[in-house]
Amino acid sequence: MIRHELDLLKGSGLFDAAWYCQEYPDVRLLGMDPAEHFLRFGWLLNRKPSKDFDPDRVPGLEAFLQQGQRNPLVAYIEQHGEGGVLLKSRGASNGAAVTKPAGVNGKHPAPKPAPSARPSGPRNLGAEQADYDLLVTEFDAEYYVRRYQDIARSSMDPALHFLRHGGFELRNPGADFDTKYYVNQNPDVKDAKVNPFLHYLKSGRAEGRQPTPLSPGNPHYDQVAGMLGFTPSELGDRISGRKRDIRERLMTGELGEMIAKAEKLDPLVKHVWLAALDPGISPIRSAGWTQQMAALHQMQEQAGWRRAKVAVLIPWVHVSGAVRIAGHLAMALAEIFGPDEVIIVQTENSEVQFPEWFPDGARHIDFAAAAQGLDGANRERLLVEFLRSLKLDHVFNVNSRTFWNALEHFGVALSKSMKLHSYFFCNEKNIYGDWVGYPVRMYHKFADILDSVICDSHFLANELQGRFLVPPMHGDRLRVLSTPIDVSMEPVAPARRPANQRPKVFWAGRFDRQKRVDVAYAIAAAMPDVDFHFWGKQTLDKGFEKLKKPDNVKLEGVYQKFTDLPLAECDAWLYTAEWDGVPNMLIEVATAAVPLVGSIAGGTGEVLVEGLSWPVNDIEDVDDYVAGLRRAIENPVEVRADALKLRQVVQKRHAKTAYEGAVRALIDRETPNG
Amino acid sequence: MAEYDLTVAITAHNETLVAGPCLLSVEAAIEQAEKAGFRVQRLIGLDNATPDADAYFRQDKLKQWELVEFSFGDPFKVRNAMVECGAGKWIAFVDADDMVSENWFVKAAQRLTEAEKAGEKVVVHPEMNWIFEAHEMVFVKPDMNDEIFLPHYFYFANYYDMMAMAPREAALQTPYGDRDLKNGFGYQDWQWNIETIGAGWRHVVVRDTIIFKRRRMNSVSEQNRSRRCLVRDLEPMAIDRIREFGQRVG
Repeated sequence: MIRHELDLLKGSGLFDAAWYCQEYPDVRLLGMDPAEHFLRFGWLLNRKPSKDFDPDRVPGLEAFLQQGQRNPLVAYIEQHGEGGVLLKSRGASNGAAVTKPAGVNGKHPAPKPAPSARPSGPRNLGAEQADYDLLVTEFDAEYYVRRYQDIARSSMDPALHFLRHGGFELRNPGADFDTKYYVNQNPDVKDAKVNPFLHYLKSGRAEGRQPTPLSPGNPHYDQVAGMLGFTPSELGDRISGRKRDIRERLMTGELGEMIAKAEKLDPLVKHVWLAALDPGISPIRSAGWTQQMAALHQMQEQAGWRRAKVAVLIPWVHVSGAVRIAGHLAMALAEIFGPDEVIIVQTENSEVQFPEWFPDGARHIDFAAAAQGLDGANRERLLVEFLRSLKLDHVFNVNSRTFWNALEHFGVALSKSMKLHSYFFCNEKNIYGDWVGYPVRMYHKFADILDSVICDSHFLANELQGRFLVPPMHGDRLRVLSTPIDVSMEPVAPARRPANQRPKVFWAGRFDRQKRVDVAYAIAAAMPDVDFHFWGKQTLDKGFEKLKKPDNVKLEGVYQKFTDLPLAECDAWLYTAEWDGVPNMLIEVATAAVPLVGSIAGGTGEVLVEGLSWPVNDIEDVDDYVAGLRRAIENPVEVRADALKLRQVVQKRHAKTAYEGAVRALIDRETPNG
Repeated sequence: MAEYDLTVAITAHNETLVAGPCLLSVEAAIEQAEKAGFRVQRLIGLDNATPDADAYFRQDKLKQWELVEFSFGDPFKVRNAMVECGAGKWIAFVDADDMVSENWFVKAAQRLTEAEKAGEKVVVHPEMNWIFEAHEMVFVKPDMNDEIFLPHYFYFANYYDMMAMAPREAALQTPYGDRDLKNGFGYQDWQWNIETIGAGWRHVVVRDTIIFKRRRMNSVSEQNRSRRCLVRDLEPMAIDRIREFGQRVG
């Protein structure tokens, strides 16, 4: 802006400051010199400099407009001098028809139809003319000029800029259209290389495509609409209507007057003007909150809008020892509190492979589905608010990652609402051989706020106590719960096979590094006269695929229930694992009184009892396994007698009633928490 | 009959120059209220005031303001104490770094007068929050009986902040809770809104009124956000009560 331009305009007689302020109240509210406002913004917004100005009656003005002059009107005055004044009088004498307003948002029109300083945009756009005319029906020039300072500084018609450049530069034509979002959501628009907003106006809107992330069509927005008793479009109309109302009152009403007065007290107030063009309307203010509200409502609906006493948090329900134990825990809790008081919350994915593991009548909540797409912080907060809304007495975490993450920030507060308990299982080794897992990462951080720390093996409890020098006050919280077994399972009769039939050894587990399939294959290779039947599937890594399967190994797939296995044909069970807790499967094998040969790792020694089974201390000592298996095959009666004794030991330690009693003791324990 | 209709209570701790626009805006708003016939008590609560803040608020230009000193280190305890020593039948809180629209006190007082006549238990809020300085944002809040009022919003956000004008009775009946950042609880204004709604108070907004909230990087709300605090676990937010939350009020 140069003084020269201001002087020219003011001296031309073409500019009527009083009329300009009256016609465009935001100028007064902004506190700007009206002539400066016209030169900086008004011209770009197609505003008129005076009531009687009629651009149609200014010969040659169009030429200046097309030349891309900084301000065609100033250029015109410069060239015609006093002619400007004459033109003004001529326009006035001819009635000065007000031209059609242009450059205002037709869908959300500006509060007052603005008489235009120019004809309705350029008229000689050739093939672009139709697009331009469509664009200006909804293009928000005020927003565009405010948001993009380079446009405010330029001489170009904002709508024309958007048509030719802005749309392709992913600029927004107004607050109600997010160009970048639209392009990202609609690859066909990107591929077609068309102006995205024009695409929306021509066809996208009719096809139901979303103009912004938070608009009808967004599933969470639509859910919230339903929560309010509206259809999505009804809510959309209401939100748009309120935004228009706010904008109108900011531009022309008392609201705007209040802003102008405050700005005089602190100019920083006015810096917010762009944000005011797109005001938030509570409660629809952010995508995160909208999804959180929708998700919470959805989960509360699943919970039947009823409170619960206890929640068990699990990551998923597929083949997993930890989740199997969560099932036992839920069963025990259902016995204690009644099934309806138990809520199962599945946090990481929605898969439910074994619904029978959990008690009938317990409420199952698919948090994973409700929270899909939520980022970490919002996801954790959602879980916390859901749990708090249930007014729980207890929550038990069984390997829910989201819950662990939530404890990082909200754990202390959550522990004031309910007693927190968590299971810990054995650590694992990563591909570098380093120990990883929740006991390594979480125990020391959260033991202070946990009412109880539950281990499935004495081995792990001892390891934690030793590593962290657990004091007596914490020692009471650290409990070992022996996983319950189905005591009704009868011992399997010893394998009776004809002399000409080859012995059979069973193995089951995940085909991964932990279970050392390579060692199991090596054992099989060392016993070619024996058939090995393997159950399980690959899970974590693909190392198994590179192993050469010995000819005497038969892959049987996955079993659904342990009792489905042809145990009567089994001479011995081989178990290999480099690290472990007290695996359910070992307990089941011992309960079935099938002779056991297995590696000592973590808690497996609590089942692989010396003298009653064949524990192998070195995971890679193939000869030791072979010796144990040979003994079982060659001395079936003696070995079976040992297995029956082991069954008795295991049955006593892993009795369902004992487990329930231990869980009840956790629940009943008086603690200073809360 | 109370000596004052309204106590305007400004809370300050370390604010100095930033309080200038606040005080000017509050004075302008008080002037409008007084012109309309409302009697206004001016009260500043200094909580563990820094020497600079103490000197600032004792300057002659502010001699029409009563100063009360506290040593709580908690702005919400200060507000509770200011309710106790305030003489107005209504009380309006303002942070020393925020500003109010000129029409706020008069329109809010008129709304509370109407409520009194109708026998309604009402707490009044400005319609618009105009956030400026470190963040720039504008949003409007719905009345509790607005068709888009959704109770579930209160789980994740505070519909109304501490910027309210309320009958002294409401503030005495439901004092602000204690700050407990150590245990992860903050947002006492949010808690207060939920608790007062639970106690039968209807929160309404007054059209065309604004709070200008100066967002500073070290503000209490920023502290709450950075610490990832929660509002306390409150009975009205229980799963079996949330759908009716606020529905029976008013």
